[in-house]
Amino acid sequence: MTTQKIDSVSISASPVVPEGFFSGGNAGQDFLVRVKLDDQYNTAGIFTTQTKIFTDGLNKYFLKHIQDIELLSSVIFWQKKTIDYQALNMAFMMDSLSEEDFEKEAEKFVVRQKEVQPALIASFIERLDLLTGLKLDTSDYADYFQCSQNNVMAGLSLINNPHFVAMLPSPEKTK
Amino acid sequence: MNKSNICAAVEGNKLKFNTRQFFSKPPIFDDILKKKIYRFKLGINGYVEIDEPLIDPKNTAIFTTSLINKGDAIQGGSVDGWSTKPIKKPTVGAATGTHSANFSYLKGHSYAHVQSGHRDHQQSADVQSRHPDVIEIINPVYLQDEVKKKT
Repeated sequence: MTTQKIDSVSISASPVVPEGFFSGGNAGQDFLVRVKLDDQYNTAGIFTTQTKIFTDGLNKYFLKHIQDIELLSSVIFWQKKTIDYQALNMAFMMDSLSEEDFEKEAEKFVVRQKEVQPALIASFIERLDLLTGLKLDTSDYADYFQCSQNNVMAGLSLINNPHFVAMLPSPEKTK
Repeated sequence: MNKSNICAAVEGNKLKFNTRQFFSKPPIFDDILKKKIYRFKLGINGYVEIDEPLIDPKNTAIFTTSLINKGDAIQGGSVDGWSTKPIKKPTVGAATGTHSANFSYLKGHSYAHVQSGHRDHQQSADVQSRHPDVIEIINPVYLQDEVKKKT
């Protein structure tokens, strides 16, 4: 261990390259060096980490958050579409738009329902609940997924959470 | 007149409704009716009554689980449904002694069902007595197309 006097502060540091660092096991490896200063003891610790371990962790973190961002982004787009449609509908209700014009404009919002994998629905609902705490109902989820409410319920049945279980038919009543 | 305040459904050619919270939802193309349907949701409290039944409802109602006679009604915390014609502007009026509500009509082939808790719907005596295992049963009349698709 070496000690230096820098700006009237005593800094202790461990060797940057410990014994055995250049052994065969580390050949061809990429390392990051980190310096950690400790205010309380006026010491500095120097640490090495394999770059791959660091970047793997970072990539995993990014991937998780990218998925969350994509999910939240899709919810924003869904809500934006709903708001746009509601504005159009409001214009019709306020007599700013004729029925014929409204029907024509509404065509732009029409979608066909599709079959969605229940596991995908379950994973989305759980994640959205965790991220936002928003409690939506089956027609809202069906609207988001552009599927039927029965399809949504097939997804809800895979979630082990009392709130979502309560949205399902009672097991003893179903065959 | 058949009235249900548990999670049942009504289907008719003209439905009148009142609610304290009206949401319109983007339309979808209905594969059974083969036309665009305008969806909606009634919040807080929704009441929907058949004002004009479908013509030949046994052969035109999409779900055999729907109430189909004039005066049949549903009421619930959250009601969703659709109509084949755009929903007109609701008018505000007194619903009870203390609350006002939006009143309007669903015109064309229309459907409404109480969705707050599908379990309630499933367990309602009204639905249980007829179809104990499913929420909505598609009228066999409309299943011919499905059969055609598969053959």
